[in-house]
Amino acid sequence: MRNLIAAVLAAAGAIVGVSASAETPGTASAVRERKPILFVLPEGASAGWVRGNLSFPPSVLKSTASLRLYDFKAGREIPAIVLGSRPWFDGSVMALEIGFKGTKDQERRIWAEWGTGIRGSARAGRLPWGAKPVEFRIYEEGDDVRMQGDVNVGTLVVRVERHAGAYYWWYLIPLVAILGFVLWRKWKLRRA
Amino acid sequence: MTGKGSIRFWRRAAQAGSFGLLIWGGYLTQTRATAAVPPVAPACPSPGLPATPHAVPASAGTVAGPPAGNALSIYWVPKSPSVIDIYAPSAVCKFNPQGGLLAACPVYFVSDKLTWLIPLRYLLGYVLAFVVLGLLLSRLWCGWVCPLGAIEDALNWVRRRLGFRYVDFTPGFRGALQAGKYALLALAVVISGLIAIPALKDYQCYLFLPYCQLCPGRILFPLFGGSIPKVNDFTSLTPAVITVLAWAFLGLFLAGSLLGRRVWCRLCPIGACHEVFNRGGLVALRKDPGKCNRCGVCAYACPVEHHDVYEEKEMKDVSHRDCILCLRCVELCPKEDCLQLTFAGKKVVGSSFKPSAT
Repeated sequence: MRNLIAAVLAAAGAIVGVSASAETPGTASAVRERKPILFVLPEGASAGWVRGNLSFPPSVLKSTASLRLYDFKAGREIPAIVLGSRPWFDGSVMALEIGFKGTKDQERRIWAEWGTGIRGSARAGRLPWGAKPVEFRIYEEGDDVRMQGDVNVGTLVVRVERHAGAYYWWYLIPLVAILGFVLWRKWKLRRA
Repeated sequence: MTGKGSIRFWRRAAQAGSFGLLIWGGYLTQTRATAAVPPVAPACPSPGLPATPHAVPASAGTVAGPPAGNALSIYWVPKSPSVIDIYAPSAVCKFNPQGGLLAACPVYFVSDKLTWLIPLRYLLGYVLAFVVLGLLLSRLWCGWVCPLGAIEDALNWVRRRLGFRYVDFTPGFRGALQAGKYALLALAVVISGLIAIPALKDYQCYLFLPYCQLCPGRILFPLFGGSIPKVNDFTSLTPAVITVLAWAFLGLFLAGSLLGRRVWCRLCPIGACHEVFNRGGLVALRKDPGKCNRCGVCAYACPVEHHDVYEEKEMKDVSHRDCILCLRCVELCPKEDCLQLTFAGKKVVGSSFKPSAT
């Protein structure tokens, strides 16, 4: 229960684009080629493992080795584990599942960076034995989502909680009820 | 709402309203790209995949959210977030640059998610939305909402004004059309699933969204949306075949709409997706056989030429899976309440005898 309450977090993510006006810290030319996702983990975030999925446009993330989670405030990379990935048709990464340690810090910003010049330490692996990670998933888009070049830029409110993935299955209840109702009516009409 | 004039008025009003909303609704969101539809360079089989991946998916926190682009040799609209992320049971085309209110049609949904192997649990919400909409309105979506249907009706109006009588298709041809929609749906599903296999992923760039590449909406909707679609890829055999088929399907759509009535509706796999809600959904077409004088006007009026309403002598619910619920039969039936449209058993509108003013 503690986890449930503590883990229902609102995080904000900005997917900052490929364009030269990418809103990333720094102005070096290499930054232009970075395509970061920003997470803001507000107060109360769990200090345990966090797990979730990120997806990318084709040809953007060539390899998971070019990805890193970075804490600009602390000035260090956050160790992350690539739990699984799925490729685009050109071999670039379409989606990957990552795990990393959460934080208790207030409004701590974690950037997921990838692209030319980025060398991350994230490697394929599994979470430590006994780890009970909370999941993050997109909860809703912010009002500021807009096109920047070819990329959507804006805030994503996400939830981080232990059973985030399980909520999807609740849809099955009304789904089965409605389809059952339709089939029952068809059967009844056929008999009539 | 009674009387033939009012049914026709409301149907046309609904079609015009939905056409505007589905084709130009993106203006309401203020998020659409204002530029013309950008080309996505043909990239197969070269590694230089699309220069313009159209978006980082909004569902970046899910496993392989909606694909961010494709390497098709077709022209693609950069995605902007839809206001209502629902795959509506009517032709809501992803290729329309001024769309944006709704996500897309169910055939796009199935093809797209299959190819990217998106886990079922992430799709349940969309499926539920589709099922609820289907339960509520059955194939009224086809008769009253679908913009392709509205174009068909408009061309049919042109034919009437030109003084041509529609063509009576043979039962064999009608049967072939009916079977064709299931074939197209199966084609969309099978090909989308096959190109998801890693060994066949090279074909994704040509065969992604297989039905969409043939759908007349892919050409027509961008035209109405202010862009000129380019369906002219003859760089190799596969895209050339697809290009030819796409133009052939457009020709069939236009010729069918001018020569016949709602011909495309009989071939449409989108209709096949939600015909399951006819005879089972909350909307029903009911007939009182006791009041029927067998005049046959319902069979004559039916644009999809199914005669169950006319031939039925006992059953009250005459909704047929092919019925698009356009209510032409209710509109023209001269017997008071012989034919009725009901919602959850309650009468919404019924046929009525209304002598002509002349």
